[in-house]
Amino acid sequence: MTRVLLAFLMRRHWWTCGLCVMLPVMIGSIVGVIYPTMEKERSVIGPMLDLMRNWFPELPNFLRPEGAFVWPYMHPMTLLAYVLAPAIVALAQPAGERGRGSLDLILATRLSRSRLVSSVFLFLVPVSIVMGLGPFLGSVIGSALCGELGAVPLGAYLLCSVEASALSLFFGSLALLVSVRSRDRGQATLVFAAITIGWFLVDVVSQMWKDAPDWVARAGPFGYYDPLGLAREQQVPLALDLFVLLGGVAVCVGCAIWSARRRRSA
Amino acid sequence: MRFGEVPGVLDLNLAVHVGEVYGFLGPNGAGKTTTIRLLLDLLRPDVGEVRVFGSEVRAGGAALRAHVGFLPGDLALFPFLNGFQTLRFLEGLSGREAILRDQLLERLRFPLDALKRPVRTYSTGMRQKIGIVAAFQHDPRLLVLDEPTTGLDPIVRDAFIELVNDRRAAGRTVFLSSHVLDEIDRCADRVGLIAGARLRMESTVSELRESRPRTVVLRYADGRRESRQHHGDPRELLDQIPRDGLVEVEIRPATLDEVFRSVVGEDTR
Repeated sequence: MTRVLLAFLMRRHWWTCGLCVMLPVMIGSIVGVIYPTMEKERSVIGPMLDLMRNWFPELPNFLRPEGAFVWPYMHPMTLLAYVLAPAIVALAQPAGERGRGSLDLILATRLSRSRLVSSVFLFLVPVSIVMGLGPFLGSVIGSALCGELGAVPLGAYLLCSVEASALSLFFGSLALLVSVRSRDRGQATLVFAAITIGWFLVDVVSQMWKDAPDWVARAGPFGYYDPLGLAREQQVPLALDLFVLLGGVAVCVGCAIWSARRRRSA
Repeated sequence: MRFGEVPGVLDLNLAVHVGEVYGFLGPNGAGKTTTIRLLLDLLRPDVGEVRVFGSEVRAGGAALRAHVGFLPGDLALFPFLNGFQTLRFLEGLSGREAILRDQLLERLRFPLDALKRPVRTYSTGMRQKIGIVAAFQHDPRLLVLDEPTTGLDPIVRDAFIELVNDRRAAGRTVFLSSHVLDEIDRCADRVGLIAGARLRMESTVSELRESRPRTVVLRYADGRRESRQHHGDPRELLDQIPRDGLVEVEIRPATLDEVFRSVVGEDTR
């Protein structure tokens, strides 16, 4: 039965998820096409950037391959895709079906409320993994296009992908919880967007406020995603980041299943 | 069962016997759909319990619903699936083979080539047919049908009534909610009438007709036409009728429609 529902979700969402994955792939490819054209900039600004990094080690050097090809992980559109791809799936089931009136048809079968929620979550796992691998694929394609594949720390990039997948799954699980508790997709989208925009703002504040205490950055999920640090093979608390993000996933999914069971009306 | 201050259904106590067709009548907003949602654990009662095949519906859960076929009143299908995919999807969720599907499509005169089209291109009637096939296709022990003939033409409506009668003959139980009284009249064994969130009446269809007044229409030679309602034996009435100029007497049993209007009229006054 879960298989039936997964096939249904795949048929329904493959193209929106596919588009979201293509976004970082395209960004990586574009960087790969542009990179060779920036030879002059590299020769002029590159040494200056290297010098500045003696004082500002967190400063990325986007003119070198290891810095340039981390761009698919960091582009704002990529962050948006991490959020959107799983959220589109989770907000459609069950909130979208509830709003359209088709949820009754689904739940009048052998499918229980909790099975519906857990099946949607099960579908979110591969979606999030693929979302995390999208930027990696973009980096690989881009660096291969300009012949710099050997200069890119692929192992570190894979760790970035693991973090990206965890971040994407976190947003998917949060959307699922909101979806279970909302009366329709409109309400669910509004609540989810409000929470996500709030966290984006926290991230912006933490980046712009030079002397911000550490907890400001860590107040939202974006604070647990540091592709730049990972790509530069700096000391990044990857285990802590994954623990927090996946812990958040567990809490959201647990609450979603509990809520679905407790709802008075399906 | 209340929705805030608005009552959904109140003090509802009804039993449907195995192998019967139970017609559930009521005006719009009376609580028919709420009752059906309670029956399928899509809505949970504030107090009381709902049992299907002897098991409490919430505890019986998924295993219980495998034996139920459901057609919602406000049928919403999945616009990105075609007709065939919709039926396969709902068959998969029911977990039971769709042994009746081909037969049903034929009897409901569903054009088979349309099965390959997305359901968003279907007319209301076609969508309703798909809903009916989805509810019946795995030969469930209990059919719960909420206003099932909405959007169907008279020929298909007849075919649907035949289907319901066939299922009863096969020992299946049907819970049929409607405000189209003719179809209840033609297939139900018993009738429950809900109005104002309460069950107002429950009886067999024939008992219901017997217990209600007969309609007597008198026609006179001068063109006058008189209509009366009469309780009890109609022969008594004949003795009371003035015979002068009388050319025609028509006595007919009250239709379910008249019964419905009578009860709903009385109870909502």
